[in-house]
Amino acid sequence: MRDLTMRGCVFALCAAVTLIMPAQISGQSPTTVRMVYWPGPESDAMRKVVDWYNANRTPADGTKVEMVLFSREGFFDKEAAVLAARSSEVDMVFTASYILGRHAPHMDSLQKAVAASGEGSLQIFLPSARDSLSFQGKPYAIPMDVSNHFLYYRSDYLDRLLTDSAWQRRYTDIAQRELGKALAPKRPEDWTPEDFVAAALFFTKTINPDSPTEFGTVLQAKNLIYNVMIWDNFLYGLGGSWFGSGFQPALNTAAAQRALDVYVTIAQKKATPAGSTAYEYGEANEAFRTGKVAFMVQWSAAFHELDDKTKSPQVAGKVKLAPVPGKKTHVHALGVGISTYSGAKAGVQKWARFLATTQAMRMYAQAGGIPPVRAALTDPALAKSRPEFPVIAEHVEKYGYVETTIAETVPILEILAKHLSAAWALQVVPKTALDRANGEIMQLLKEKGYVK
Amino acid sequence: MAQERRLGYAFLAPLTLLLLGLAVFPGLYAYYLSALDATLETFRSPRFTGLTNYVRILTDREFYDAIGFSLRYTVVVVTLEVVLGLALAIALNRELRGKRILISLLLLPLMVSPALLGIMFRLTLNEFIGTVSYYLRASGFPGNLLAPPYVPYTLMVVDVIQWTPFTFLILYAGLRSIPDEPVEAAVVDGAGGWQILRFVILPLLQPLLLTAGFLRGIDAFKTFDTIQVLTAGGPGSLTTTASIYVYKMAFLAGHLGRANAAVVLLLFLLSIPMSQAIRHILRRTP
Repeated sequence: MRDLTMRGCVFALCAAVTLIMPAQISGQSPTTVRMVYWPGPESDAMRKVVDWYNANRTPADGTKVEMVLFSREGFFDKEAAVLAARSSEVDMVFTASYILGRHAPHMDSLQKAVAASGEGSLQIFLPSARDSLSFQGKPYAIPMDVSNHFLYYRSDYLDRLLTDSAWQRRYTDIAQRELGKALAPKRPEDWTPEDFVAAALFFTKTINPDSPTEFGTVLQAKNLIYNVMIWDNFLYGLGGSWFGSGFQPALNTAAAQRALDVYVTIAQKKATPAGSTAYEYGEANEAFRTGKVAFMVQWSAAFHELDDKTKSPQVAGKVKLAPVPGKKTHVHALGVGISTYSGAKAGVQKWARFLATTQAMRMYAQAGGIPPVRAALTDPALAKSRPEFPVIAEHVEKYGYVETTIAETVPILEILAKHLSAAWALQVVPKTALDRANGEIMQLLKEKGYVK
Repeated sequence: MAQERRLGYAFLAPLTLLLLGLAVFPGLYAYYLSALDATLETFRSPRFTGLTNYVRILTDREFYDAIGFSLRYTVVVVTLEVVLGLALAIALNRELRGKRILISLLLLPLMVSPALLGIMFRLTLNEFIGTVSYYLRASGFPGNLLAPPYVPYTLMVVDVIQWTPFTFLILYAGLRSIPDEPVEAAVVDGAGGWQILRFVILPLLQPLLLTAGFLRGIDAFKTFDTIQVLTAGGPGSLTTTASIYVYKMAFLAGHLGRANAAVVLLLFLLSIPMSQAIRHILRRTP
């Protein structure tokens, strides 16, 4: 009797386990991967990809992605604090080329994680964008959004300059008078920094009373690290760079002097608005949008709004893109990588591998992002609504460069912003500004052990 | 008696704990960090560097430039705000139709956050879409108020626009509390308007004038948001205040240790005039 009871209990237990187990397996909650992002068009685009993944891939991958938005102001400082605290609350880190050096010590290299399965490959990304999120030769983040610069110009005015002989004669006269060289007009695609200055003078009303615009160009000369990135194009386009051999600073070179002279000459001749010293992205767009300037070097993101008839009725349809004079464009990318302190490594790697697919990147591009993936940017259907996408792909591929991704990138940018903005505002002579910047960068790099 | 004392301590305890947590601990922690080679990346394992951070800050020309600008800025804006606040308080200290609405309008700038005010002025002073710039250009003004050499003065004017209502509010309340008798006695003695102001009202208002100036002085010296939005301390370091210097040192240069050393030095430098000012105010307060 006792045996029977015992057997009955065992049977009941087995039956219960048999009945309950599958239910538990099928109802097993997926691993949640927390990904930090900043609010704006990038997170709007990423939201679409996340939603698609959660709806279609979560059951198979067992991973659910949750996007956490920190406010944009001081975003990277907040994120750095989370990483410094070694918090496991964040699985996926949002980073950028210029801050990667600070984040990378808290992140896993993607070298193995993304190549560990058949899905996803970092090879789909444009090389300069991939490099911009590599640290000490290893990839640390998947480039989601790429930023570069273009020369934006008014095609109506620049086309006329190439066909109107009276304009051409005056152009040469002005170049001779103001710059001491009899330059002839060229297609914006072929401009050197010298042509950029000459054209800026020609289209400035105080220099050429017949100019259709008040100013030739608009410089973004506020004391801001992003404005240094724009000036860097002239530095690199004229054969210079931040560093000479190794990490030896090279800001006191002839190339740097010539690059700084481009801005200083334009400021001295008043070919940019007086308020340029407080200008950044928005103000430059506003100047261009009101039809008061003929061309400018601006971030790739601006085309979408400047060519929009509702947002920019005065210039839409007349905006064309060309390489930045000197044919170099700064490239940086926003991207996501894996936190070393994540407690959900398997899940976050699956998500990362999915992001490194053309499918995910197309989805991201369709939702408004600018992924540095040729296949997505040159998609004919997408190029109809975003005609600048194929140009971005071409320029990033052909002219893109990355200054550096070391941890000192932001401090170097900050030093440059401080000293160059003083020269841009004609408060300090170019040589003094460059010498000071070079000296401070040297001191910084010595302290950090890059230079002996 | 002992029970009463215990009760007193019990009542004091929450505020004491709050002060310890929110003021004393961060203050001591700033001293601690100032002796370390701390950055956001090495926050958990910083090296002890002794007084190195202090030496670096004290030999940094920009630190003195930032203090110099903050001091000039503070002196100018506080003087203007107290004088204008007093003038407004006197002007409105009488029976006027629509006075309440006028005072409400006057106080509006106080309600706007400094960063937002900065954005508003960025738009207003923009050469292409700004109303102020439009009229300046129409009147033949060649420059831009956000460009050198005007930019430091523009920043001061923005501060004066925002904070004059604050001094007005304090001084208006003070004027309303002055009894009629001394003024009436002065009138009987044949004093004119200026004499009444100079010898009756101002002496009675002095504690409030000093308090308003002191409060604004502390705040003006710490100014950050408006200037950061409008010029980010530039061009160059032309408009870098002490707060912007510390912010850039901590979050752009990444030197938390040095930034804390700068904070400690600023505290030390300001503690002497601050304690003098407080003593002076307390002495003048009845």
